[in-house]
Amino acid sequence: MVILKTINLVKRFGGLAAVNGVDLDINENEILGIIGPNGAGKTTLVNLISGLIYPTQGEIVFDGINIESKPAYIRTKLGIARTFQLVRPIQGFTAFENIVVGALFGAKENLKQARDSASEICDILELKRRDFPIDKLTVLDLKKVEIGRALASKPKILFLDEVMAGLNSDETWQMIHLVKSLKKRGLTIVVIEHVMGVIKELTDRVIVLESGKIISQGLYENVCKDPKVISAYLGEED
Amino acid sequence: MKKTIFPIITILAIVLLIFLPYFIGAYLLHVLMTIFIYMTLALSWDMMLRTGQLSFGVAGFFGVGAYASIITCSRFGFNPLVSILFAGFFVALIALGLGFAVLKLRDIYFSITTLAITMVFSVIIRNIPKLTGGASGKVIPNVIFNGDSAKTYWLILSLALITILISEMFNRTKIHFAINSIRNDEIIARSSGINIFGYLLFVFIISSALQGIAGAIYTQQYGFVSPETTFSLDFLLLPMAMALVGGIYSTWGSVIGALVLGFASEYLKLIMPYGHLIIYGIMIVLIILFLPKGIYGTTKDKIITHKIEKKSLSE
Amino acid sequence: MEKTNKSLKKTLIAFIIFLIVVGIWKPLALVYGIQRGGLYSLIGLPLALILGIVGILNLAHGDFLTLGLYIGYIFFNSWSIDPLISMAPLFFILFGLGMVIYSILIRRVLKAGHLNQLLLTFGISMIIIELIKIIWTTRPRSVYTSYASSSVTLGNMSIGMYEFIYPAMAIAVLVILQLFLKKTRLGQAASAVGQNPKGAEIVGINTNVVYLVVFSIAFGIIGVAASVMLPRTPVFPLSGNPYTLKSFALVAMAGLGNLNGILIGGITLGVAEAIVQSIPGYEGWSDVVFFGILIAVILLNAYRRPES
Repeated sequence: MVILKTINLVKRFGGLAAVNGVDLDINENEILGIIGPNGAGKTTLVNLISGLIYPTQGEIVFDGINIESKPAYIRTKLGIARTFQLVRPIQGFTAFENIVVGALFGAKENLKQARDSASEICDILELKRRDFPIDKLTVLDLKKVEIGRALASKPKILFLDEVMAGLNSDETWQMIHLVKSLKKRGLTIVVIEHVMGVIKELTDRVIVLESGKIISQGLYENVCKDPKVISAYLGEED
Repeated sequence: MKKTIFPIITILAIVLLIFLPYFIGAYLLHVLMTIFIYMTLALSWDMMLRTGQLSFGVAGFFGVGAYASIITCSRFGFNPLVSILFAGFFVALIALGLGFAVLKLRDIYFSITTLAITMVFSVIIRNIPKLTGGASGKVIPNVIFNGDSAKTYWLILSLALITILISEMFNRTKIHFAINSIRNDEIIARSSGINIFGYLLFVFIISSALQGIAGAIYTQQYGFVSPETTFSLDFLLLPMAMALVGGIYSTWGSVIGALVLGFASEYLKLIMPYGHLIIYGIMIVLIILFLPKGIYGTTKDKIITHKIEKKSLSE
Repeated sequence: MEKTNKSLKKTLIAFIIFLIVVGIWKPLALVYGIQRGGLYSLIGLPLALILGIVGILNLAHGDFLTLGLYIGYIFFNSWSIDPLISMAPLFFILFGLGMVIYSILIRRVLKAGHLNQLLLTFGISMIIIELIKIIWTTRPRSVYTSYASSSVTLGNMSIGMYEFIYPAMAIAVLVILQLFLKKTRLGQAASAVGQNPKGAEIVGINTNVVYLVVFSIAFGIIGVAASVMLPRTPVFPLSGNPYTLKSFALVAMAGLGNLNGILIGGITLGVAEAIVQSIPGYEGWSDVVFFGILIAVILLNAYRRPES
């Protein structure tokens, strides 16, 4: 079953089309990978779906309703959560309080419920230094806080934007493990990633973006052999 | 143990404050009243600052509240207390209207616009002399409670206590999480499901209303308004300095700052009749340069760092 | 580039038509407006320069102008030096003051965020006002020169001649500033820093030196403005204060980095103000022109700005 769908989605910045007619179907409880060379429009696509920017044209349908003109905070309440490429914890809050924020406003819980769900999420994420201020945390912890805040809003679909960047191989494995366990909890997950090994390990299905368009989609193994994909990536290198 | 002691101290302090008029002289009581008015302004300014918006509109809302109260009192025969409440509602209404326009602004544009709005208020009031008395202002025949300073003190004390209560509510409930997130990162706030505009408008209305009520009570105490004195930028600068000295983003910061600077300037006024306000300017500059978190904020930070170090050692 | 030229031409044409219409309708308002607008532009230029290049909104701008007025007054009162002659020392005194203020205060908050910057300059503003009160009290002072009150009579209108020095000086300062920014190495560096501070730092421009020079030059211009207005301005602790907001209104109208726009905006606002003042019974509303336009322009820009 399709949980989120975009129809001919276009976003132009000035004359430049960062996303140029994307028709995307995301199925319930799958892990979808989005790959593509730098500047292909991956993050713009996520920004459009999460509502940080509005499309120039096209539709976004989530759970049967059109959301393309709804503000970001409403979309979060409806069940779309995301993390950011550069981790952006809220300064002045502890790790735990950062996660509480997601539960309070995304999941519309009261303060007591939110504290309970936040500590539950800390357990799932195996986040130990939960009462530390943000600037005393490690990179892995910060990533977990980022995911934790998104999870706390009780989303139906979770977008992970380059969540592995900056992690060593050990930590990357931990993270892959974590994302898979989230799928088992019934979540739909979209992963944007540069590291091909991670995509291969993690995803059920992959779409490839280039210059704002989907140029290929399907299983990882098939997509890799697609000549269009190969030339897109080779083109990037020179 | 600490948890039971704190409420007891608070209750004792409030009782002491309530019975103070029976123990202290008229002069000291007067000083305290002024300090509580400024404390209210400092706290309400800080409430808005906690959302990341630096408002220069304090003097404006203070002045509008003052005029609303005096005019309803003298022209429409409102009871002074009713006129004070009316002033609060009136200012809240204005803040609601203005909020839709100015709360889309950020940074210096928000600050400058609120300052310009203060100026517009004072120009408007100067130019409708039939209602406001124009440039020379307006006097009411009777000050509130016929000048009974104990009653006036209690009225001002209740305003200060209510403001402290609201500020603490802002710091202990869901609202705290919302406005702190908005100040730190609006994008994160939005994608965490926070209705930024809604919260900004809410805080803007509450803090403006408090400033309006403070203006209304202050004028009822003296029975006099004029564009020069009522919209004086002192009602912006002094509260700002107090909140900064004590420590922004906290209730007790503004309270401490108001007490410290309030008594200090009272003393300076005696030895330096001209320009004693310079102490506020110097304080603002020094605090910004050397102690951006203020007295309360710095002390609190030290304690927290100490606790974490202890915890890290024991791990 | 062509596009900006086109819009500049359009603005210029609209501006000239506006002046002609006012000139036919209320010739006196036009003359007063140009005179006063020239002064607004002259005072607005240094604020625009600092905001555009250093990125700091100096809320003590008008109070440094007051300080300049007092220094000019001392030159006149103690040593009988004419304000137009003391313009040279005043430029250098305020230039030096700018260097000091930048080095010991402003430099420390460059990276501290807008909030701290605004509060710092607000605090400086307060210190200057109170310091002036302590040193010179609140008694107004003034400078008398015979030439400042000369006027000509045209038909039934009497026009002060001295005030034409304001637009003349504004144009002169603007031309010199533009030459500095375009023709000198330092000026080009300053323009680069104004447009993209990080990029300028990467290509090896010492932003700190640029900021110091720009800040000091701007302060020097404040000194020039103070000496030019001194013969026609009463000197008291708040004489310069209203000019801070008025100058910011000009910058908001012209847009950051557009120095020519300051002149056009200044004269437009000056004329608009003079028109309101020429309507009997509404003289007091002229201040609303400035603040009203300031608020309107800021709001318009905010709503027109595309999401980022």
